[in-house]
Amino acid sequence: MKLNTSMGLSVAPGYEWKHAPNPREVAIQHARIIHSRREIEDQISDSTIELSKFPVTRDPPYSASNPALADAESFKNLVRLYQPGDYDDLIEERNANGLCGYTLCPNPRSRVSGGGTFKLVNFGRKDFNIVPRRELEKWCSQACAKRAMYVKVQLNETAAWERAGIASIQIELFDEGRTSATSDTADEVARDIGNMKIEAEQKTAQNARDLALERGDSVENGKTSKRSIKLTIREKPVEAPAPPSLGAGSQGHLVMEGYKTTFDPKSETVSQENKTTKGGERESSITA
Amino acid sequence: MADAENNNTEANERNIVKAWRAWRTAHEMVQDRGYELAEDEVKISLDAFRTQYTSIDGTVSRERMKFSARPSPEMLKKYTPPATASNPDPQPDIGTIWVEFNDDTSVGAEAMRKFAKFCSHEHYRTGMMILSGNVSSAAKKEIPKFAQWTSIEWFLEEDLLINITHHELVPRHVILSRDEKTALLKRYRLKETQLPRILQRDPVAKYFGMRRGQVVKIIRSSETAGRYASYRLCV
Repeated sequence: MKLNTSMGLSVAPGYEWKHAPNPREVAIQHARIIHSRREIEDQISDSTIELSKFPVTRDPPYSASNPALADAESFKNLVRLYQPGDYDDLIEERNANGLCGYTLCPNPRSRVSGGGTFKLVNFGRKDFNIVPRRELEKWCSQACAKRAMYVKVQLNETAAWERAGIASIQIELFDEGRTSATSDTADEVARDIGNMKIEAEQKTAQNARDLALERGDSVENGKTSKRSIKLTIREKPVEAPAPPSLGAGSQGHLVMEGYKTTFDPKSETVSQENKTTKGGERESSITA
Repeated sequence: MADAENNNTEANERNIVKAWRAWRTAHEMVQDRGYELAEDEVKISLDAFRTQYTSIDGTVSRERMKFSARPSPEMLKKYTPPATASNPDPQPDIGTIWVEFNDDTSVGAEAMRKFAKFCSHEHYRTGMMILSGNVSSAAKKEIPKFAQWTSIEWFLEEDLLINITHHELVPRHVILSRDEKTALLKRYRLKETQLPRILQRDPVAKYFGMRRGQVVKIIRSSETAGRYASYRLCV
């Protein structure tokens, strides 16, 4: 035990535990992270309830293809954090309220007459299909299904809390995209370039973080602090190997790979008795 | 025309009988869990049910079908954790139950949140919803958010038309208290994980409202041994 402590002390000087984190602080930090994630999840479920009653203004001039501006804006803002699964939940929730699955559509969902879990669609035509009844009853029309799916494919599988801070993630509505395609191309290009720039920045930041981790630098509050270990570079003296020399009196010629074999003639006399029994064979081997 | 009317009354009659059977099974379930219910509340006759819970036009009014029950002293004792030095007077982790019938075609997150808020606000430790429609997945996500205050359970009315525990192939299930569980583990020198398991979503486990970590004693009749008891841990 005593030995251990003394060894520990011999290592400790020069190495300061300045950056060793307080376990309580670490625990609190992780609890905060979990808390903020929960908050975002709660926010998503709240907005699901809110969006399941949309649109707020459902008067005749406004329809699914021409929604009220305020509704469209709040829909785009709220759905931004959704994952595709959350969006499916929203569609289900709207259907539970008896509405069309597309959030900005004021119409009630369609009801297919007759029983059965599957329905024949477009019977006798080229695009004939057999569709589950549930799928068919989600929307008021095929156009609404298209609009809703247009939003869904823009949603991302990454967790909501990772996307919450990125302002460049914006959702586009189906009809909006089509009308603005001709007029706002420059705008779109500018936004694409902006996105690319942000992506590149994120990538370099990530690379820097990886490198810091590999080097053992500790990163605090985004800025890299000094190394926790002091480095001193000390050159190792290198001597060139000396060539072997045949000096006077040296027995360099006897050395085989640095080892000089010893030969003791007396040891031969020990096996004199054997010599008599095994005769000339042995002698010849010695002389050889 | 008279034929259609006849059909309508027949359908209505079927609806009343279904609601009555689910009502009875719900009461039996609450009683079997250990809550206090009067015998005439549980074994209500169809006629008595009809007079109490149908509206003037003869249809079932499910919004009137709701009841609460208090846990019996034995149940309170069973659900009270053993006293420790730091907690000398432990409170039972069970309380009054609230049961409500619902005839919406599907229950959304908002309805579920409203129900859970009601239960936690009125200090019901357990809230049970018996539904004729389905529950949306967003509504299911609401349930764990209220777990701290009230545990919400939901059943489909069509699943309660018969009481599954009365079936001859379903053996008797008895939920063990914590003391009994520790005694069992000590007796057989087992760790919790070495027991056979039963899922929390198992129909019988749902019937008894089992929680994770509880042990159920299953008593079967056996040709050779008379009775055979086995134990399962709820996971």
